[in-house]
Amino acid sequence: MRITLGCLYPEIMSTYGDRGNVATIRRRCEWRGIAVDLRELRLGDPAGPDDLDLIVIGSGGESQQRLVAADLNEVKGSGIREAVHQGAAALAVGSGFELFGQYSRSGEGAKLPGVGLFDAWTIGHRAILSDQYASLTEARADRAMGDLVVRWQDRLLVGFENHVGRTYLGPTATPLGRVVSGVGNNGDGTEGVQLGDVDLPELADDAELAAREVAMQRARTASRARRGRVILRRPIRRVSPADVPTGGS
Amino acid sequence: VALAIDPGMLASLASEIPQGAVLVTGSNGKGTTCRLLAGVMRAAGLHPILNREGSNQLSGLATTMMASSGRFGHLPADDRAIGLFEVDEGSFPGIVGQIGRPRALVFTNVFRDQLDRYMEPAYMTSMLERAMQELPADTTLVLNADDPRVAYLAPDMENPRLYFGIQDTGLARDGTDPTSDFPRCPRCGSELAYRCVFYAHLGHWSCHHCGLARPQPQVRLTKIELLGSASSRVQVATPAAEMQLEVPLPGLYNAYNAAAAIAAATACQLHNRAFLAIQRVRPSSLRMERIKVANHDVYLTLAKNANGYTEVLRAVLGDGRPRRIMLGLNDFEGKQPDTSWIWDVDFESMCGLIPSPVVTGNRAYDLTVRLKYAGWLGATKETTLTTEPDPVRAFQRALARTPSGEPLWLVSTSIVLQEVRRWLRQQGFVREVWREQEQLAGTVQR
Repeated sequence: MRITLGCLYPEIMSTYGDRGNVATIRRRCEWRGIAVDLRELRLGDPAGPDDLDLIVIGSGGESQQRLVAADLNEVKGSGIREAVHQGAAALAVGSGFELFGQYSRSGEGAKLPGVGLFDAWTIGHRAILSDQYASLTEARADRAMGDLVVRWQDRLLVGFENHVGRTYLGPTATPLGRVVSGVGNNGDGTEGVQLGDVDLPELADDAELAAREVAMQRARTASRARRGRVILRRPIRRVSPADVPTGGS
Repeated sequence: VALAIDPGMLASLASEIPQGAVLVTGSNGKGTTCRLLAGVMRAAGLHPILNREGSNQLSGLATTMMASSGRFGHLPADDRAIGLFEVDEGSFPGIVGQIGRPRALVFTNVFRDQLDRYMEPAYMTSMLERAMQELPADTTLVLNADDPRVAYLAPDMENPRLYFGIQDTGLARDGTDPTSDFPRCPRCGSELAYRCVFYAHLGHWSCHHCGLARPQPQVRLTKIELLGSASSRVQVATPAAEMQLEVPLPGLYNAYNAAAAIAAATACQLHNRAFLAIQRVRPSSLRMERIKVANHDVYLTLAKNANGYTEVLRAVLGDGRPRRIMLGLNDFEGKQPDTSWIWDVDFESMCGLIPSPVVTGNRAYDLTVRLKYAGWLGATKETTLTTEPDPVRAFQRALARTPSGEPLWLVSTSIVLQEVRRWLRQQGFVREVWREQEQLAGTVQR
């Protein structure tokens, strides 16, 4: 078996260890005897709908988001929409996830158009690059940051979130899961968006289970500490690499 | 405490230093650069006043100045005194205006570092640029020419600029480095082209779109020879001299630190004979410390972000020979929760070079998962890798399986190193007492 993995903007949308998701998918495929053709799609490269089985996009900062939004709008968007409608799987994390929705409005008020794969939009209240925070401490306090536990079907997903935008789901969007601890999409208890059928693999070994256990402990402690505080919130960005879907279309 | 007494105290004491001050900031290497530069300053007959490594925020600097001042709140009269301050890049805006007469401001590099604290690099550089506007017009900007984020900082400022960089392309990598986060042109935002890359995004860069290019450095490393896992031999050219030095620290990243120190000394017009003092600086702090344990040399090496971790490992494993290394990873609850950067460390290229590695720290299992996907364990569960979250127990195991006489490296974030060091001190292997509380406070905030 052979699949084509389309990795979107590998250089500029890999801010939060996102290349870990790509590495994980490749290894897991390799262990199962699935050959992976890695196609790195950079700014200006078209995304052909017929030759993508799996699309991965990670996270970037404010300036990267502007570049990527323009490229998605002008170059890749239609190819990605078509590929997904034809059955390609996609894993979108962080600001990549935000840009796969309807739009993302930055703190400066600029509305970045999204790919429109699902009915969700993201609002950022302030932008760090336009000096809308007085200090690092203030910018930090505005972010949802920490370990995140989400109930998905009968399982718990564990990841790390670090984001300032808040994502809101429209009536036709289905959340990926419910937040057990952490912030999630915007504090309303939802996390992420699930489009079509999603299947997630079981964790592979003791180390993965143990790592998950530590993260869950952290998330619970942080959750207790946060209780009673008002926090601006937003979506799961990082699915724990161990929890990344590995299937093809 | 000092700041609670008098918020202007740092400013007033700093203005009393006769020879002014040098500030060193950046993501990686500022502590080491300061220690190398302190050696040069002493050799030049100056008396540097340093903040303790890691105590590099406003409170740490204020404490340093308090400790140096007498009971009437003034510095002792010493016309050879010069300030040498390592400044946390996040705290730089609050500190820069307090240092009366900075002679030089040294920028080592700007890496993606601790996103949970510093946000993204673009934010860091814009914040630094704004703060730099407070500098007097005669402060020399000592900048890393090979880092496009640093070389073009605050282009409108007319301050004198002194660039340092690596000229010897013999150690350049083939193509790009997987640990790079690919900064774009600092002037026009286009993609940068590289004639050569030394590591991460450091190299000989240029922009095909607007024509901006790496400036020609005045302080150049014209030849670098990495000598195993402990030191390197470099040929340095400055406007005044050319000389050969043995840098007593391993790896390209420490060659950069030496270049930064020499460039700062050049900016302060110190005599080039004093540069040789770099050869005598001993690694003796949490950044890189050697401790004799039974018949092993144990090296404690701090690595706190993806580039630091990668470069430390590359330095130790540079000659391709297997070495005993214990790897640590800890988060710091509530303050530094983010350990996702381990996915940006280039563990892939070191696969198989560390026999029976021991992995430790409260995030040891995350690191184990990372190593598994780097191919260290292979597809099966057969492995000699040991995961032991408790640093002391892990260290004992790592030491027990290190063959007699061979060295053992500990490469880790700070808390693991502190715990192992505390244990080594209890066991009598280290005499010196680190001011651990202070060190902890300093490193945690970093």
